[in-house]
Amino acid sequence: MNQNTLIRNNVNVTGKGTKAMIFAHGFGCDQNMWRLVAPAFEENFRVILFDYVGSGKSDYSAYSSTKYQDLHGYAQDVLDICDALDINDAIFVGHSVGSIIGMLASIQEPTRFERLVMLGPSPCFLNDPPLYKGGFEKEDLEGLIGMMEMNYIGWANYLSQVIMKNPERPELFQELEESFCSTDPTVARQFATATFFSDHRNDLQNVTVPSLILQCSDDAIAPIEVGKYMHSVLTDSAYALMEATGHCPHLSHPEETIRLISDYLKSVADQDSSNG
Amino acid sequence: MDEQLDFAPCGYVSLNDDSTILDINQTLLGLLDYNLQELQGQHINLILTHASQTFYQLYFFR
Repeated sequence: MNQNTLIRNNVNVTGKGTKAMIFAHGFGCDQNMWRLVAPAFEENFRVILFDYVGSGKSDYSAYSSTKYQDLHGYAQDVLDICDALDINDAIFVGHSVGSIIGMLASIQEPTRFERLVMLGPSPCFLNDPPLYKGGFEKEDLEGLIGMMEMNYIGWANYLSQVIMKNPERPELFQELEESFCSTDPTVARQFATATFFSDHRNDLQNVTVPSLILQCSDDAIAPIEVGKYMHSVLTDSAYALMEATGHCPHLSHPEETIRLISDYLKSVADQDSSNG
Repeated sequence: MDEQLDFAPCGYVSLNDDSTILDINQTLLGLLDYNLQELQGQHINLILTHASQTFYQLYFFR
């Protein structure tokens, strides 16, 4: 077991099962995002939580602007974790760009994964008329990166320290800081660029691992057309439109998220057993 | 709304869990060039650019 990887990516392993279920966070947060969903799978799975290098409580000294300039560097994080924990045939659950990163990892080493569950995935955020509607114009994405450069989150954290003024109760501040998912602003900007300016549409045809796409209603980041596009191109993919709105169903609608993942895993397990 | 808050030198808006605008002060209405009836009960996205909607969804609406 490679201890360095486990520390580098702040890997946490829980659960009573033997089959691995890896939860991968998306842009702008960390493994904490899975707190309402992951525990539901601890009874039957070996639950793996981690932070990508540059996020959460990962080892920031392992961050390299070259390695993490595109999503392949992040995919290597996933493969390193699989290697360190000797994981094969895992259920990989990824949120947003986390699911695209898992998809890239599965193209490199398919035997590591049995199923991919993708929450709000998008292979390309930019519109590419006339055939592809990612939902964003270049100006939209540049505006978003610009807002990140203003570092509102850093300001919010600083102000929260000033305003809270409860030095005898440091847990209050810590909770607030974690709720903002503060990250190094330089790393966050580079991750945002790697995320929002990526185009992995051509990789979709190379995916061999079966997948479930969970599409949110009314999601300004990954619109319904994008989820349907992925479903149409990905081999052996299932598609479910959620009642959940927004882009973070694992936080806003954890019960629905748990139910749809469980139902999918149960249905494919039934299929596998009836096929002998 | 409290008059001091309504005409405070900064914008003020309150939302419910569905991102619906519950209340918004005169200062912000003036900045945005809307009246109260146009925004109260509407989704916050109505007053945000696409880039800001994305930022809001990433960091705020969780």
